Amino acid sequence: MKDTVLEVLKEHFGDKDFSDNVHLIDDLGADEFDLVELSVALDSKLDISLDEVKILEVATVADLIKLVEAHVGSN
Amino acid sequence: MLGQIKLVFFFIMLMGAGGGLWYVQHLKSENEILKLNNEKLEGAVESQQAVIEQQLKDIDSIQTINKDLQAKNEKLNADLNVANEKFNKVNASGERRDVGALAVAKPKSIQIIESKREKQRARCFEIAQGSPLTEEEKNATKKSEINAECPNIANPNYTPY
Repeated sequence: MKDTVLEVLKEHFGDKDFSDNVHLIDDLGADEFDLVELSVALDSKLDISLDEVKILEVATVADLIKLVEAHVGSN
Repeated sequence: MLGQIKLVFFFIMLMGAGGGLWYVQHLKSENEILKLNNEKLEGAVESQQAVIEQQLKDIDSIQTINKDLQAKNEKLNADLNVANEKFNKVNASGERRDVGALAVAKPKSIQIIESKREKQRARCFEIAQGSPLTEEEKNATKKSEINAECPNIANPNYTPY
């Protein structure tokens, strides 16, 4: 699961540090549209449907992994 | 006969003295009028100088305001370019952002983003029209803290990275 998230992050942002505490907006330069793009990519790879509100509340890589795990777990 | 001539001369001299006296009085009154006119002119010159000084100050203020507006306009143009780039962002895999497709796939997310941006844009207009910055806006240094629509005018301590 985590590997898939890291793979999607790498495809989107390139070779960067994706440690748990890395902030998607402050450290990786993402904007809200990037979060939605990540959400669409993760939905497609994992055959899930991430919450459209919660994805915008994601701050760090760890938050994103946690959100994906929660969705996969609930599916 | 001599007495009559003396009398004539006396009258002539008396008339001359009277004329002279009248002439001096006339000159004095003219002089007074000229003095008054001169004082009025001096007052007018002083008030004109004050007006000219005020006009020079006004011109300075206008020039300063124009410079500020020009600087603000440049910042707004820079922000507009940044805003436009957001819709054409290319990710690390070379895929160009398609906001339309995102809106179809995740309509609620895009609606939330647009609603937030709309509020930020309204704030940008307020700031552009002279509204003072809040402490939060002044202290914003991280991308997650800024007004994404116009950071150049809303967040003076933010440096893009």
